[in-house]
Formats: sequence, C-alpha cells, structure tokens
Amino acid sequence: MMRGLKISLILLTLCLAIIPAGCNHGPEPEEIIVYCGVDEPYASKVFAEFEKQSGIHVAVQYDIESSKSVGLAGKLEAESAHPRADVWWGSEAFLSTRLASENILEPYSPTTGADIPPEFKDPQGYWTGIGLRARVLAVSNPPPPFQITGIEDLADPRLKNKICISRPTAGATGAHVAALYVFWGRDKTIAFFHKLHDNGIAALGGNAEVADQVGNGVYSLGLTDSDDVSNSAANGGKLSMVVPDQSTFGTLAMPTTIGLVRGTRHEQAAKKLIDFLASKPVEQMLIDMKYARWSVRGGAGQEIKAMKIDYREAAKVYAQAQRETTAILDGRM
Amino acid sequence: MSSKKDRSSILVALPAVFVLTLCSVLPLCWMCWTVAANPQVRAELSFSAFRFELLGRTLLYNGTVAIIATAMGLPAGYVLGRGRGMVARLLWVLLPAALLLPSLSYAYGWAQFVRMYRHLVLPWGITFRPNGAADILRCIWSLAAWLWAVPAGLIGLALRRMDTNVQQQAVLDGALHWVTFRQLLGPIIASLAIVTILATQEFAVYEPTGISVVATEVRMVFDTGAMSSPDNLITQSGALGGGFASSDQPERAAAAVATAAPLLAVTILLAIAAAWGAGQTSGSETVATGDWPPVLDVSKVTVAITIALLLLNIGVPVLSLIRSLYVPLSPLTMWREFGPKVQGAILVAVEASAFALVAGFSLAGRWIRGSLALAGASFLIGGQLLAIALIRIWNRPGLYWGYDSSIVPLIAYAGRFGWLALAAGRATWTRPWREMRDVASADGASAFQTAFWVIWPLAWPTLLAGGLVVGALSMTEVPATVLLMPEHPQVLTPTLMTWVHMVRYDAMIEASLIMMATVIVPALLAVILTGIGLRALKAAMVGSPTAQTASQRA
Repeated sequence: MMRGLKISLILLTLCLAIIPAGCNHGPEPEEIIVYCGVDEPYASKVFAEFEKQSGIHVAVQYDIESSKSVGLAGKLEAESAHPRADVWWGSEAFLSTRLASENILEPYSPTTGADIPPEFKDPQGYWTGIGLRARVLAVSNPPPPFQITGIEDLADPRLKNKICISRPTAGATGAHVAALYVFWGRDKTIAFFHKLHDNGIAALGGNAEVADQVGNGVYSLGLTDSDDVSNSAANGGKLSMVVPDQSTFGTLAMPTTIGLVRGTRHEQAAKKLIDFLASKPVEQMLIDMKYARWSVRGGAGQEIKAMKIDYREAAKVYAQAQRETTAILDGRM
Repeated sequence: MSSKKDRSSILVALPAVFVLTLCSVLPLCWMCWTVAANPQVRAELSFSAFRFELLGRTLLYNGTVAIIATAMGLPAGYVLGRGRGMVARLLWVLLPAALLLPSLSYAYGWAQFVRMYRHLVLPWGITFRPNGAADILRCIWSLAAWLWAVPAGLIGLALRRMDTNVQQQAVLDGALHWVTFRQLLGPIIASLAIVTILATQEFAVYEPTGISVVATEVRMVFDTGAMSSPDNLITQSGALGGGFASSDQPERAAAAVATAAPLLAVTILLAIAAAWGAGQTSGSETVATGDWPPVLDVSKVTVAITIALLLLNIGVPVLSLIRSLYVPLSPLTMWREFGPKVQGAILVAVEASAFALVAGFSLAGRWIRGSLALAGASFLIGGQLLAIALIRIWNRPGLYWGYDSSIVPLIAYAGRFGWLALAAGRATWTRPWREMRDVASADGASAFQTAFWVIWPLAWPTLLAGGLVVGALSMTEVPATVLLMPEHPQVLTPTLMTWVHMVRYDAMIEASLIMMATVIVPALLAVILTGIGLRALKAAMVGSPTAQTASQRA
C-alpha cells in the first residue's frame, strides 16, 4: 500500500514537474514580441537588422495569408487583459485604427517619425505609418483584349471566369472593401461584388496567390497588392501591374502601421523597436526589397492617385464589409 | 486486504486521471458548455443549403482521399502482413515516414512537383486553376499519399492476426482472394473511416488555394468571424461586426464549434464504423507473427507495387522539394536559421510525450474503463477544436502562466495523440498480459506489485514507444499548432503556414526538409522499441528467466 502510494506520488510529481518546466516565467529582459502582418520574407530582414544594431531579440508572430493581419488583430483583442505582444506591425491602417479605438494600443510618437505627413499617422499617436503599398490590378501576359484602367473592368463580361481576388478575410482585401464601403457606400459596393460573383470571379486564399495565378496565366486579371505583383514577377511570373482608377477616384494606398501594445512588459525596448521601424532607412529597406512601393515621406500623391479615405470611418465598417463581401463571393448573400 | 489492494491500484491510476481530465475531459466539457452558453450561435446548427453543400463537399473530397489511400494501402498491407525478410521489416519502418511529415510540407512537395511538370499536362487543358478540378484532385492526392500508411498498417496487422487455417483451406478450395477479402472487409471499412476522419481534420492542404471545406471554415470563423452564416448574429451588420467592437473571441469560438457540429456528428458515425471494423481484425488477441505457411506469402508483384508506391509517396514529394531549391542544400545553414524553432518544437514534443507516457504507465498499472474512449474523443474532435477549447480555457488572467507557455501546446498534443500512449497501456491488458497478471495475483501480488514487478519491466519498451509516437506526431502537428501559435517556445509549424501560399520559396522548402529529418529520430526509436517490446512479450510467454524472476519477485 505504502509503496503504491509512493510510486503514485512519483508519477504525479513527474506529471506536475512537466508543468513548471514548460511554464513561461516571462520573456527574457532583452526580448520583445511583435505581432506582424507584414510578410515574413521582408519583415524578418528588418528585424534581423534591428537585432544586430540593438542586441535586443525580437520574437515575431506572423499571420497566415488567408487571414493576414485579421487573425493577429483578433488575437491581440483576445489577449488584451494580459498582452503577450509588445509591438503591433500591421499591413494596413484600418485594423490599427480599430485596435486603437478598442484601447489595445498605447499612444507613442516615434522619435524618427517627425517627417511623416499627418495623413499617415494617427492623430493621437496610436499608430505610425511607413512604406506605402497600393491595391493594384495584376494583368496577365498576354493581356486582356481591351485596355485595363480600373477595378470595374473586373466586371467586364469579356473576362468572365478569368478574374480573381483574394477572399476579403485577408488584411489588404478586407481594407479595400472597407474603403469602398466608405467611398462608394454599402449599396454600390454590394452591387459591384454581386457583379463580380456573376462574372465568375475566383476567391483565392490570399493576395500572393492572386498574383501568382495571374502570373501563371491561369487568370487574366486579378485585384491584389503591389508587393505581391512585384514578388510574383521576380519569381518568373508573366504579369504586369496597373494602378487602377488613376483618372477617377484613385486606388487604396496602404501604409504599414506600427503601434505600441498597451500593457507591454518591455516598454523601453518596444519603443526602441518602433523608433527603428519608423525610421527612413527601414522604409527605404522595405522599398528596396519591393515590399513597399512608395515612401510615405514622399507623399503618395506624388506618384499615384490615392483614394481619400477616413481611416476611422473605414475601421467602423471593416468587419461588416469583410463579412458581407465574403458572403457574396461565396454565393450566400 | 482486498480494499487495500483496490486503494493501491486507484493511486496508481491517479496520474492517468489527471492527464485525461486536463487534456480530454476539460476541452470536451468546454465545447458542450460554450454552445449552450451562446444561444446566438445555434443558427450555425441549422441545416441550410450552404451548410449541406459544405458538409457534402467535405465528405466527398475526404471520402475520395480515403478510397485512394485504402487502395494504395492494400498491397502495402499485404507486404506487411504476409511478407518475410528485409523488405517487410524495412516497410514497417519506412511506411509511416510520410505520415510523420507535417501535412502542409508534404502537400507543398506535391505542389512543387505539379509546378515543375504542369506544362506536360497543359496541352490537355489541365491548368491546376485554384479550386478547379485539377487543383482539388492535387489536394486529394496529397492527403491520400500522406495517409496511406494508416490502411496499410491496419490491413497488415489484420493479416498477421488472421486465422491462417481458414486461409490454407481457402487455398485448397481455390478461393483465397475471396476469403481474404471477406476477412479484410472489417479492416478496410475501418481504414476508410479512419482516413476520412483524419483528412477532414486537415485544413492546411486545402486553404492556400481557397478550397472551402469544414476545417477551413472552422479556422476562418475562429480567426476572423467572417465565414459564419449571414443569419448568425455574429455576422450580422449592426451587431458585433457593425461598430468599432469586433466580434469577440468567446463568440467566435462558439461559432467555430457550432460550424463543426454537423461534421462531428458524421465523425462519431465514422468512429463507430472504424471501431467495428477494427474489431474484426482478429479472432484472438494474440499477435502471432511469422507462423503462416509459405503458400500464403505475398507475391513478388505485390512487393514490387508496394516499393513503387513507397517511392512515389515518399520519394516524389521529398525529391520535388529538394529539386525546387534555388539555394544550395546546406544542413548547417538550415539549422542555423531554423534551429531555434525546431528546438522549440522538440521541447514541446518531449513534454507532450512525457505527459502521455506517464498516463500510459499509469494505465498499465490500473486500467480505467472508458479512458481510451475519452482520449479518442479528444482526438476525434480534431486539432482545431481542441486548440480553440484550450485557448478559451487558458486565456484568462488567473491561468496566464499556462497560456503564455508550452503548457497549452503540450496539453493540446497530449489530448490529440495521447490515445496512442493509452492504447500502448491498454495492450498490457490483453490476453498474454492478463495471464501474467493472473499468475502474479495467484502468488498474492497486489495490483500495484504486479504492475511494478511484472508488467512495467516487460512492457516499458512498448509504453515508451507509445510516448515517442506521441512526441513525433506532436512535432509535426498542424491544425492545433497553427491556432495556438506557441510563443514560449516558438515552434516551426506556424511559420511554415505563413509561407505555404508561396508558389516556390526556399525557406519553406528548407524548413520542411529539416522538420522531416528531425522527426525521423523519435519515429525510428519508436519502431525499434516496439520490436523490443514484442520480443520481450514473446520471451515472457515462453517462460523466459526474466519473466520468471519478475513473477517470483512479485
């Protein structure tokens, strides 16, 4: 009996010993955690440079392409009572605006961001934007039989079943439909998406997939991000890029956005990283790697015509726009 | 005395009760509670045309996976069950290799194969358009080639445990094929059911090209709330999604469970079919390898087919990955880059393995009725729902020490694969072991004394093998890991998932190869230990000195 008790206790102790062994006693003092919506191949090089310069280790969580940024933003919201992340680096601005409104981000104006124009910063300093990307049309080679000028060309019957888009659950596409909800209004956007559905648009798993499939000649035209077109072309894809609606309302230009997570356990190190990310050399790095296409410091208006969007208004309708357009593409609405 | 004995055996079982409660009972209870506590998500349970199509599509795709995998598993099962010599022995080691690779890496290998040779099929109009017929077939094939070891193993074991007298008589009657088919019907049905269940749990293979099945929808609902039905309150404009406040995690989690509910009902039916089919594998509990007459040996043609399938299912995707690399293959560089995350995966896997192992040893000391069914249930709900349940249970201020550590992943892995360790423990309650227990009991040994002096010394290799398999599978688990995204330590799988959509990416290929290389170690050890365990059991059965000494000591 006693031996049985002893052995049971040993087994139980073994069990319980595993728990503290796996327990996190808090990250190392010189480690910060970043939730990152920027694509890993680019962001990892930026973080490596920061680690080299500062000696601070950066642990990064990236998001899956099909729910890019949205999944991580949801995680930040769910963990807000006890945040794991110290810094948020989103792939666009609407989610950051939403996180700011939910009190998940802490105001912080990076010392290196003084030269960033106000349209690319939150007025209260909740987030700072760098490195502009734009929503563009990926055009196959050979191109469609008519000149592509804007996103409404996607609804042209001559391209029936030859067009594609990422599911709006991916960050940039979600941001784009939210922007259209604000700019066009809900009814017109919904009517547009019905037209796309009727024209046989394929809803793919992510924006990179859209560019790759157009580059492979599977589709003739796709709505995606500028960096994904560049990346696909660099990997041998046969496609070109059209910045849409330049003679009308412009396209959605998206800065990546950096924010300090409220309740961070490593405030000083996190601020150091934000200062680094907001700096001009890092933005140039993103442009050189062809992730960002334009600098926020140069002003988007100098090179492309961007939609004039109120981020807060777009953030308000973000979830609704994302869900409704996804339902339309799925044929459920 | 008797009550003392009982109390002693209850204490031996305590660790297993602890592990089962933590890893299986709590998540299962949470699932039931969350749907009950969130009445608004019950709209997900209504059977609309959309839901019917979704379920039908999921079962069609994954049912096809099961048919192809079972068809491929038949010849391999024959070699396992009726093969002699090196080929059969090697096959027991090599066959599970594909299954131990992360599903998304394996599928990526096939995607690379398609990328390299798609020009050959273009003249026939086959374009591998995302979500098109060829693309769906690529996913189905990837899953079938990944899972073919399951039917092969089941059929192989069934053949080894078959009554050979019936087969010899069938040879004389000229009806061997028909009789064998009839004898294998149960294992074949079990294979079809098990492969279907396993395939329905995988989302990583389907998601990159936008194919919608229940598993992809569950993840989307939980991560974004966006794929729920339009009549769900969560998705309605003006409700949670309409203002600044996004739909919150508890409700998204409940909606995800409700989204999976119809498939779970089908899974239960499939599990019953699998249990029935597996129960037909043998008329006895004795593993009687090597005692069939030469006339029943597997034919050389079947061996050749099996070798060809092995090369196809393991060689082609792995070689495709290597051939797709643009950078030189350098294990040192790969380790430098991915080593920390691989080490993280190993650490969590070792912890999960130890956790499951303790439960296995404990149950070898005292079997708890229903424990295997409970552990099986937490496996059947799938990695995603298990992860969602654990996130919701542990993501709260009082339990944050567990949430932000390897505790939650290790519980997820033990909950998902712990049944294998428990099954190893259950094996010590089959007939040959029961006989030994009876002898020890007749000598006056208590349940604990029997376990300590007789069972554990003989069964440790089998029990350890069960734990190692749990560890190997934990290292490459995808559905739960992607949702949990462990931070302390970080593991490699979520990073792979962020790359899987890329048409060709060196880092994805290198990381996949390094994971494959790493997981081979525990897998090989498990196979070796199983062999040692079987030999030990045989020796004990013929009255070896070890067993006699153990019995005397007991």
